[in-house]
Amino acid sequence: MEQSSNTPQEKIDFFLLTAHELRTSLSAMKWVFKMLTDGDYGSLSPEQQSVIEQAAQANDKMVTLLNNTMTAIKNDGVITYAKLPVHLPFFIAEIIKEFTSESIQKHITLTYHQSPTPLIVMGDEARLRIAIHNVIENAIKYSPANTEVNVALTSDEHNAILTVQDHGIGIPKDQLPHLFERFFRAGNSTETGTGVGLYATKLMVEQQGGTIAMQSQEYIGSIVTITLPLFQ
Amino acid sequence: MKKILIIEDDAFLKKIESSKFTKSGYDVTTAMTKADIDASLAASTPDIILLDMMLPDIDGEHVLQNLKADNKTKNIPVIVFSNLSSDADMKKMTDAGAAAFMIKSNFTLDEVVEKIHSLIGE
Repeated sequence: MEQSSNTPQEKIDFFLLTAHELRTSLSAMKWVFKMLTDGDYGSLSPEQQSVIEQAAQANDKMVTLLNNTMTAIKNDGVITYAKLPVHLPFFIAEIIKEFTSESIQKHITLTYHQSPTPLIVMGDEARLRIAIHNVIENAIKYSPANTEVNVALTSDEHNAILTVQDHGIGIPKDQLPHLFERFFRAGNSTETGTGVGLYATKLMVEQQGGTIAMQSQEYIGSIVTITLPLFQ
Repeated sequence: MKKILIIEDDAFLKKIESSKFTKSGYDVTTAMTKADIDASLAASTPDIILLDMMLPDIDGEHVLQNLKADNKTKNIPVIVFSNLSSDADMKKMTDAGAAAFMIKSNFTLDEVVEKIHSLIGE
């Protein structure tokens, strides 16, 4: 049998090519599920509507996992980011909309305190979307039913400040320093996961010139704070 | 009715995109190969183009460069709509004059329609 050894770069290239093919199928499912639940192909029974919404959520989780894994793997290379103006209050409102049905299903009240002033940052919209999506998704994932997840956008003189607060299981104190390490999973986690989400999120935020931090108390909840430099 | 040209090689994605944009009130034409693209642009000028990057006989970057080099098509906004997402790909397409770069798996088609509305109106 002939054997070949691939360089790390060849392995990354192979993974990225595979990821591209996976994304094609995930895109098709994402669009079709949405069009089905919107009634584009006729009306659905409540049961059909419900199972397709759940399939859509499962599909979105795969998209998120793939995005995070791609970010984690690509971090070995030199990364440059597109810098375009992003209107944060509107941008975050759009991301929150994506969690409407998931929060209803989990009986979680998702609130958004939106900055009354326009806060513009220069950033890579795709990366910012994934980073903010990850943080809100985590807050919902680790929250018990009948609790709130509170998203708030404020600012100081130089930065937009996004906080995402949950009242979930929190992180044990001794594990907090490791939160943003690749493949880290909290010891008290009861949910499935890969440990790349927060790592990838931190990379993406920092690559936009921002910071991310988490305060957490076990069984009380967590607050994630992201700052992004304002475009002035 | 505003015209959209979809340049896409995956038959199923093309079918879903066409269906959604037609329902949203646009006149949709599709193309896959260089000959398709040339024939479509010779027949009519679209108001906006959705451009995939991996095509059978020409890559998206060359399609975009050709569009921007031609007086007849240089002002047509082009949304790059791809599942490639490397920084190099995004930068080269933005530098070549793309109006937006959207990763297919990260957006619903409703969001693409919103982007189209923001660029050319309904």
